[in-house]
Amino acid sequence: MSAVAPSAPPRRGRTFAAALRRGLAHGKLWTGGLVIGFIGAIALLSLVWTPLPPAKLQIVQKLKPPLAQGLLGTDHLGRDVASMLMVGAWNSLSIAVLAVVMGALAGTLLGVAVAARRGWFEAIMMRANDVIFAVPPILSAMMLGALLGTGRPTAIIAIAVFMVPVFARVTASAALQVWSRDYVQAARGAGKGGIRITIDHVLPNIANQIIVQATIQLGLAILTEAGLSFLGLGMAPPAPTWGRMLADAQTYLGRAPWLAILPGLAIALTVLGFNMLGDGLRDLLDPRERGR
Amino acid sequence: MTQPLLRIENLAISIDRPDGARQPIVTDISLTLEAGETLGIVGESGSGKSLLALAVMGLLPPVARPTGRILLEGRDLLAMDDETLCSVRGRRVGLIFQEPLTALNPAMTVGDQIAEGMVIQDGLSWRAARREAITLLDRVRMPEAARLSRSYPHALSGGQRQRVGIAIALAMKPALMIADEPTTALDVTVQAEVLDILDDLTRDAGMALILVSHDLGVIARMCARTLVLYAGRRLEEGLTRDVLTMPLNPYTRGLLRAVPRRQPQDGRLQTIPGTVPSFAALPPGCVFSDRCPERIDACHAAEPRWTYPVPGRGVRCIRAPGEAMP
Amino acid sequence: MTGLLLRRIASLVLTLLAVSALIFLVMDVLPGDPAAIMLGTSATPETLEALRRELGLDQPLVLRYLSWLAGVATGDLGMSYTYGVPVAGLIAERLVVTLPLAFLAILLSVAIAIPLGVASAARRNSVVDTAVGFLSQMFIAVPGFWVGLLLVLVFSVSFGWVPSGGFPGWQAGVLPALGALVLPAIALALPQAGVLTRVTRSAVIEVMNEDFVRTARAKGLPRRKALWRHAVPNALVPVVTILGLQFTFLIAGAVLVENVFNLPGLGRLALQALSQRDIIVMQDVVLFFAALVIVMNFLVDLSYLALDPRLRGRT
Repeated sequence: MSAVAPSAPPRRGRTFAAALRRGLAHGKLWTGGLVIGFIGAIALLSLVWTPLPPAKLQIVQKLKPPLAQGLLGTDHLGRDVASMLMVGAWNSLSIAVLAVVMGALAGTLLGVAVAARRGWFEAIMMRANDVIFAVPPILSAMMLGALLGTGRPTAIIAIAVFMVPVFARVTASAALQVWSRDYVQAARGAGKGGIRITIDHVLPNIANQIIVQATIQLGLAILTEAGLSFLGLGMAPPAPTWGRMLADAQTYLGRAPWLAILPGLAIALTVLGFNMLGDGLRDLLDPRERGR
Repeated sequence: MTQPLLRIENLAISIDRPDGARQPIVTDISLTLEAGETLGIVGESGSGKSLLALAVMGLLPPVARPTGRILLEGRDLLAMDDETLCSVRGRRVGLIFQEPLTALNPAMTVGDQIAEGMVIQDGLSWRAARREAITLLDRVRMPEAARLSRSYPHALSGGQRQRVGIAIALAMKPALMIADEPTTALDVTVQAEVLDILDDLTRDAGMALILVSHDLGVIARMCARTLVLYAGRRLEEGLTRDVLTMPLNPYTRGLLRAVPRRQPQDGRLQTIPGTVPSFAALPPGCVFSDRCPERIDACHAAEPRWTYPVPGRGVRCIRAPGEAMP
Repeated sequence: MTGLLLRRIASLVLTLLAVSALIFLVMDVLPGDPAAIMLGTSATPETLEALRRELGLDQPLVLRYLSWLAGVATGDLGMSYTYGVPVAGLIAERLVVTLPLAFLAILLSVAIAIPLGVASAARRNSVVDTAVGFLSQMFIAVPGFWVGLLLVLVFSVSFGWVPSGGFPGWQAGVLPALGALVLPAIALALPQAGVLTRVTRSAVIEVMNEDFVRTARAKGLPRRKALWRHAVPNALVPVVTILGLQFTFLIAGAVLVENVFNLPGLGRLALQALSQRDIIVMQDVVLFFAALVIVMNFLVDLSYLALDPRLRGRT
């Protein structure tokens, strides 16, 4: 820490850094949007085209480094890594998006209901939230997996269930703020019902916050899905997922390090993209939280 | 000629606005304060008086850009690096803040907050400094000083907290004490006692005092000299007695009429019409011209110079009597 | 103060009861017969019936839950089907790996996050601040278990400095055991550190604007001392709050990292139990983890009392 006098004259470094930072803040939205757009496009592309069928085995060509065989090399069964990553993008994104949409819908409903009803309903629901929040998706996926079998639906449900308390908390506190406003109280005094007020006043006012939260939670959902499939709790083989590619890569760490590096980069890039997009959206839509 | 304790020469402070432009706040301040002297700075909120107080502490916020000189015992505070300033703060100048609750650290006992400066600056042991803190609390008339020194600010009353604030500022026996609205946040009943303590202790220690207040009554009671600030400019200066009995500037007269008296003259308390203009929208010419009951067209022409109508008095008003040389 | 404590403890017990009841209910409501799952293809109607009786599955749900509760109260969590030993012993055996791992990771993440967050806040909008912001974004985005893989790749496969995993056990000595936990703890700590850095930064920035920091400066405290002695202690409450909330993710991360490093911890126990279809063990471990999260948040609540003297006076 420098000993800068509070009244020090402006330093070039400071203004330069400020400009840099402003640029970054504006850039966040675009960078995040571009990254997610890129990965989303690849995921969609994988539905109609991949360099090779991702499940095609070429044992003779196994463990080839990037560019030696295909763009990004091959895995221990000679499958094309680039193709697997592409399909993995679709598998990851589709699970994450479905889980967050389900969790956000249920959580938002619960949140606005809590804000409208208050009282014992609020107390019980918020306690229930704490309880659900105490069981991370990996553990609930184990429970569900034990009884229902593992697979895509189990992964989606496990992540979605965990998202419910997250969205319920955010929604409830935002909705309570809207409820405390004068015009809402006036509407209530005029005899408007709770459901009507929620639809007319509360939801339009908190939509931005929910969108920001959903974007950020998508990053978390990607991380969770990767963890689940790393442990074998995600989509069943032979469907390629980033997490299982990492699990497979563990055995060949010394011989084929790129197998451990590439899927991890894909995960990190996607999560970073969603986080930046979320931060950027927050700056844009929710000025109160700016600078956090 | 011996050097005065504090000498401010042509101090101006501007603030960097978020849009990058600079907004002048305090302009053309010069004053001299001898050791042991008391000066009241009076002005409405937004007159720049708190910024002036912070400048003398070397504690201006980073967005503030001062020019001019603030000479404390001959050394220019504006030219000092932070390390040197740290050795001045607390030891040569002490500061009492307006809001005693927020000015105290909620997570540290008040005794430790008083002792801290003595430990870090004067190299006392914590044990000795804590003992000294209890003595100081005793001197600011804190009941049960030893016990309360171990309590946290939230457990004290507003008046007690401000006594802690005084004790903190007093701890290293500075030559100059600056009190920024020390009683504004307090109940009327404890205001008088806090002022009393402040008066006693600075007098005993021979400290100079700069009291910043919007309340002429407080200043009349505590300070030998008075400086009237408006929109970052000095409008009038002189012995408090003279300024209050023979105000030269219409603004000072307005302030005096707004002071509540025991026997109301005509039943109603007068106020100065309008509000202090924002620094971005000052009227042309004299800064007070848009609210002044005695303005003439010439007031809008140019900002009046600071003049000395009588020795020891200063005023900024083209209508002030006896415009004379400095 | 004791009143507050009692209320918190009551709330803790209530939450623990609720979470156990919920997990019991979920396991009961979901289709799938635990006995059939545990026996797998070797099941005959007779063995199935016998196992159901042994597990108490022929009893109504409420009774099973109550007898399980009574078991917990006496330290009896039932018997593992595959291992044939008490589950309580299994958990205790694995706990000595998972708890130190989690503790070490928390310690590390705080040791990384507080200096970074404070430095970032103190030199707001500087190049340092921007760099720390970038770094913490990275930390948040990378999966901990992938960091673990990379650490193994660098430190064991390439340099051969440390074994790529496994745990020598505490009987091998404290240092070798801790040594085996260091890389996993780093992998677990980095994502946490990312989140904590951001929270620390914004909390310190908020506190730095408080009047009392200016009072400290007016006493002649250098910037650095005012920051660490006055701003940082008052910024700790939000940091500790997030530390508590993040504990859920730390547990999830521990399950993953234990698998990367082959650590015989609770997470691996749960996963092994899943693959061996030992539902009793799995259910107990999940419950235990959930209880750990809830107790951790209880401790966070208590730590507020230490951090904020204003709360101590209330009852």
